[in-house]
Amino acid sequence: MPADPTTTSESLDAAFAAGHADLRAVYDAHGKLVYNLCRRALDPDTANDVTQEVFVSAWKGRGQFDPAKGNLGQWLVGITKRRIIDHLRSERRHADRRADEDTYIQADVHSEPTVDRLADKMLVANVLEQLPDRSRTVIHMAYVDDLTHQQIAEQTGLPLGTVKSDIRRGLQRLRQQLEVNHA
Amino acid sequence: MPDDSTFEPEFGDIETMLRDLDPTDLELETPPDSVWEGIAAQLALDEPQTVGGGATVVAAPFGRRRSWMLPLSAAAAVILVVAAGVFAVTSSPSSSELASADLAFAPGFDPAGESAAASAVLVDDDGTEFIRIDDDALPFDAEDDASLELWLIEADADGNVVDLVSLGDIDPDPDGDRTFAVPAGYDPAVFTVVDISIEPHDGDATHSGRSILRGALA
Repeated sequence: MPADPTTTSESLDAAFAAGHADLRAVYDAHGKLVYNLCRRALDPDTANDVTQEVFVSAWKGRGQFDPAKGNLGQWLVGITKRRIIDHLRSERRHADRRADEDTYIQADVHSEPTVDRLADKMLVANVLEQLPDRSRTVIHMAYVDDLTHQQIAEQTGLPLGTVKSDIRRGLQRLRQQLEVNHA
Repeated sequence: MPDDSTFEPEFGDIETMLRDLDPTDLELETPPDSVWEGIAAQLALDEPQTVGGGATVVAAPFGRRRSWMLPLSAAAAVILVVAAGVFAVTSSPSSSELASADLAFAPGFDPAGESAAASAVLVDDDGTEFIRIDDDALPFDAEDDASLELWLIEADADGNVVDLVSLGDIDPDPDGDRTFAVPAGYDPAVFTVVDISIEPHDGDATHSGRSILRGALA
């Protein structure tokens, strides 16, 4: 079933773990996830650089990837988080020469949870983007727009049962893709 | 929130994460083409190219490096200065051994290296530099259809790999030659880290990421 994104990404993960994956395929599957996480934490030029660093270091360190501990997207996001935090710390060290110590300590306390939360959001947004159109639309209406299932049925013209089963299937897919992170 | 719009507790975590999303979180941009071009360019630099009898050819003039690496040059300069100092102290007319490194296993390495040991010596033989592997207890039999390969790595101040070059496979024969020429263009004062990795015979010339031992020349 090549059209099923889950099947495709699982076989890509397996190929990557075995050292047979084409890096371009890995980048096509996960470049957007890594880049958008970087874009939300860093300035545009640094985001480009860090995205590049993440894929280069992931490729060089691909022997460290263990599919039993999570999927490839999660592994790449883990590397991305560390790189972002390294960059933020290094920027702060430079800023620290000009700023007072209180500002420095406060910024250090807040950066890592913020990057974690951004990473969670990007993982969810990325899986959501890969859902079939109708499932993505109803999930968006239910959780981002905060509409009830009844309201969604009325606005889309879909039967209420279809709305519920679309949402359930979408949630199942999201859980499948994210479960290792949040088990 | 009416009851019919939640599937708790089965999907509780997922629903919480979805509710945390803002519409702007869903606007995912495609990275600019320059990002992939940079990745491809940089990894091509790291692939040693072999010709003829397997001599390693270096095709990586420094000018081709990615611009983002420039900030690392300060760290590299520090390593260079420190290493140059060590070399000055250790090299003397009576000794051709310029520096040495105890190679050690570290967490995150391939488990095959757990009880392995070796040391590396940088030797100057009439102006030509070699790395010699001494006192080795190396796991040549850890895996079928794989070799142990020797690398020199340039690391930044945080220990991250900036660049690396293969010196070749290590001969499993205990009486075999354990001396490796340092490829032209790769200064051991910059490429200070000696690394041994397990390399499956899979046709991929890049580092497998499965290091077993590593140490810094000093």
